[in-house]
Amino acid sequence: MMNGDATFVAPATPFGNSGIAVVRINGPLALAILSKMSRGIKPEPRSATLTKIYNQAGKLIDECIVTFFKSPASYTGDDLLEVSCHGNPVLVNNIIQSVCSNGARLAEPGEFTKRAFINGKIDLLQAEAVGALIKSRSDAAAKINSQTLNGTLSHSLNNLNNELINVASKIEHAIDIVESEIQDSFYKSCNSEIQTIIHSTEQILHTFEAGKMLNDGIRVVITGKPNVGKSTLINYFSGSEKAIVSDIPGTTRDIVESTVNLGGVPVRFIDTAGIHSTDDKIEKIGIERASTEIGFADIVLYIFDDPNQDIFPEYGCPFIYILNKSDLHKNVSKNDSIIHISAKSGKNVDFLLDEIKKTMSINEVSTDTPHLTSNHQQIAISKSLESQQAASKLLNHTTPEMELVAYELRDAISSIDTLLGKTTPDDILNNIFKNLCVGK
Amino acid sequence: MKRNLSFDAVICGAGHAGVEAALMLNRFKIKTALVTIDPQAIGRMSCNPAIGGLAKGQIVKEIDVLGGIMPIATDESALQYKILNRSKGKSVWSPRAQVDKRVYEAYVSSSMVSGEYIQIVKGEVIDIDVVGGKVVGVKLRDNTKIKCSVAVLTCGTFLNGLLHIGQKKIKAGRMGENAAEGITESLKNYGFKTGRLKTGTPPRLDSSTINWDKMQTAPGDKQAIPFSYRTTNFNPKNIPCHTVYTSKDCKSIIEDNIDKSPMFSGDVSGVGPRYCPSIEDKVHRFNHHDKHMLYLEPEWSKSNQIYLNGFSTSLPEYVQIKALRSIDGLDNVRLLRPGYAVEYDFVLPSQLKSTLETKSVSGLFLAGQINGTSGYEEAAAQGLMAGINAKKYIKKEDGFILKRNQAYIGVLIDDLITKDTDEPYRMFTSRAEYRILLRFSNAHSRLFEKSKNNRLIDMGLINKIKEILDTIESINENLTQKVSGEEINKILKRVNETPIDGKQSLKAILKRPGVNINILNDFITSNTNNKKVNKSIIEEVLIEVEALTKYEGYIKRQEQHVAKISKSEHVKIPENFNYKTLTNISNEGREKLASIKPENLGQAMRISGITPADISVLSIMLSG
Repeated sequence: MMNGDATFVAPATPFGNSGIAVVRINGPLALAILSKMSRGIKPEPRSATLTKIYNQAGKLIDECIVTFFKSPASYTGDDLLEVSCHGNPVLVNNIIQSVCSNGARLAEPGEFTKRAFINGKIDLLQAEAVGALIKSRSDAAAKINSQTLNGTLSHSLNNLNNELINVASKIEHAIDIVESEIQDSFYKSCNSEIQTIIHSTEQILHTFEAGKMLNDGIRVVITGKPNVGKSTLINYFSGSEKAIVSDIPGTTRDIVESTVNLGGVPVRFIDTAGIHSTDDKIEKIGIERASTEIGFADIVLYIFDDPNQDIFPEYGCPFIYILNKSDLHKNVSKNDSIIHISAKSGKNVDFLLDEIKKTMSINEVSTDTPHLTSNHQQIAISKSLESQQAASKLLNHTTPEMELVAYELRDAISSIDTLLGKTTPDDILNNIFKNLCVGK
Repeated sequence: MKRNLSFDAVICGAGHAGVEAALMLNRFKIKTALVTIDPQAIGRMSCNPAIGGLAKGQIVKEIDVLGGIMPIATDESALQYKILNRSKGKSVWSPRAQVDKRVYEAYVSSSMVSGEYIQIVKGEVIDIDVVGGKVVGVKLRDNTKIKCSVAVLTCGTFLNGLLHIGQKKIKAGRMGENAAEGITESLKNYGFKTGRLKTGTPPRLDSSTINWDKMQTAPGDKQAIPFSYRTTNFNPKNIPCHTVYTSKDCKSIIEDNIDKSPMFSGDVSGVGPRYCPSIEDKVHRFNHHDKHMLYLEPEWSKSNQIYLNGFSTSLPEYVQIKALRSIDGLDNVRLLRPGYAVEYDFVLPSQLKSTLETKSVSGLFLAGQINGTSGYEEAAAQGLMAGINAKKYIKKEDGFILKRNQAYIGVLIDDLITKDTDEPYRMFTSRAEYRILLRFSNAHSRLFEKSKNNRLIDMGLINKIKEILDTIESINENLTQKVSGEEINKILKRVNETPIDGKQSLKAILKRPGVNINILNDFITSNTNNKKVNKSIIEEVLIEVEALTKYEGYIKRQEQHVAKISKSEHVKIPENFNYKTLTNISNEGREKLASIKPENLGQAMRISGITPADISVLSIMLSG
């Protein structure tokens, strides 16, 4: 049970060595705790103050910059202090321990965001976006999530909701106020308004695949017979010797990964053990894992090095055939469905990347419009769409049952409401806050 | 004259709420004083000569199953019946009847007089005696003291009532009837918060000065359905109403004089209903409309007094006459009584429990317009519920509460106590989230068991409703029989429906959007024992069976939703719950909860301004 009177603390930057690290203290005691630890500093709201920070024994921990955000003008809506110290995990731990011994406690997962939500600073979509923003792995994903954080997705869903509310009100008006009976033209005009809404909803729904791709990235699994150059390709992408390359077939026994940013989308290349029959136990496990990886792939790159090979495997997802070591085979007849590269020299690898972009429609991902990024957003909007379609279908009856139309529209609205946080049951709420990292 | 009287219950006011409460107490042999300023005005219909209408018709049917008098009084006095909303779906079909006000009033009044345990007391309640937080008696203006353990206040628009006609102000509850003064102050002394509302009534026209040839005729339904299952020998009249449109001239006369309306000059402080605007309001707010429809309704049979529905106004009398005479056919019209607005006090209803007993004074019940509602039906429903619960209070039994999925009456009371109304509250079907379950045609199946178990109705009605429910069941059974194309295709062809191959159940055929139950009549009523149920009831039964069939999927969905929500209705909040311990919620939420003190989590959720986050915190505190 969280308590609104509690003051809590957490690091706001990841653990590890860095230039600076930020610790956040939230709650009514924040200022008093700082005052104790800094020997009487009273920072002005919203201005940076340089101060020394001491532990309870009076020993200096670090020299820090503190910024005070006074309630309600803070991220959480409560009094909030940000302490920027030097980026050393030991210092950060010392500060946090010291803050706790002065009356604060450690923040629970997502508690900062939960306070912001409770204080009405952000809506549910925005709260969810905070978590996604922290986890964003590419600029484009960060952009989409920061748009949601600014409320553009909320904005376009609010628009959708308002349009639904408009039609619903018209219908309720006809049911509850107008005593005379309805004309055919009324049914028709309601239906055409709903059709327009259905169209907008479908468009928002289409952004899901793209939005998901930006956030989750795509998985490219590299496969092929042993020693055709899979690891060489991975190494080319990562620019390091991540995978052990040797002339001995079966060198790669585990899965090796490398991530490349392709048109804003994080693309994970996954190297697998070459698939062939083997008696080596460890290699066998590697091969089994490779088949599992292929099952989760968004796209498979099948590499081979024999220009005369004429039998190729097929996969349940998009795939590209690559003839490697192109520098070794001169005068090979070109085949449109096969890309010739040299993983060693990097020749034509750009062309391969373009092909991946084309296959996954990466160029079409626009970061200028708000995107649906999580599964539950997609489910909620799909449910809303279903209800809208049901409403439209009812309106095609000879004498439409208007209260049923209104019922479907209400369902359509409340589905969207679950995202905007107006009528959401608390289980979704808890789930969202649980999945946010500590400190935000 | 100083008297000292003693009763079990005192009802203050003999309008639609008061009479229902009195009759219910009489049924349970509880000695009741019905105190009224004017014993000649018991059960009076002070405004329109009609009962029922959108959403209200459903309420009247519910009142019937719960043993109230309004439905049977309506059938006794009806001039015509009509089901509204036929083009909008079966669960929002709403019956309405035009009634003879004099017959209605006489019927209700005589039932009061013949009530063995009811004594009508002429007088005006000005104070309530409370000892130890409990009602012990009331005081009348003439110093009479009445001892009682229960007081039901049903004062209507009489609490500090003030009539407005142009700049003229008259202290009255209704035209020609004195206002009630003193009770508001008494209630305020006990800490009750009150507010002020406004409503209006249109002018009454002299029938002989109307050119009837210029009016459109509006008859009722040919096949009428009675409101009450107790009605026998149902032989309804079908006397037409008439309609006429206002003119452009009428509009400009009102525009020119709008500043003389106390609503626009700022003289009226009370808030009026948005859904029932005065004619000056309509002209002002819907200025793009050049004409508005008016209904001419007879107030009684062969009445010379015509109620002009749609022309509620508080303009000065001479402006009313001038505006009306600009309408074709009303050129020489004479007013028997001008329209006027009335302002009155009401008690903020969030101070009530769901039994309509006040939270702070035990034994004090409020019902009707005093709770901020409008309409005869809303008043009667509350009077009935207050009467039942007053009996339960006296007998120390658990309260009688209807849920939102059981009755419009449940929606009405739940809305009142969770949302303080800021305009006269009137029922709309859209206020009921489960309206697909709340049909006029199934009031019996929704409320019958509850009514029977609480002994609200007698054996005669119990048996009658049982017969109806049996008939519905047997027709439903008949619908499961399969018919062949040979038998049915001729009929389907007649209504432009695709014929069937092989055999299909009648139910499947009835589910088609284009198929109406009447075309299947021969199949479903042939071997039914429906001869017991009379013809007018069969009409309603068929409507219900059709709704049950066509709405089957939606009814199931709503029932599932009810089951899901009912969990939170079962989470009780202790009366002494300390809302100050809820530190993790918004200030607004905490204040609202602390002032309304909801009885359970479900009610808390419906309080306006309470967010889902507030509810999660509250539910954690309740479970922990």
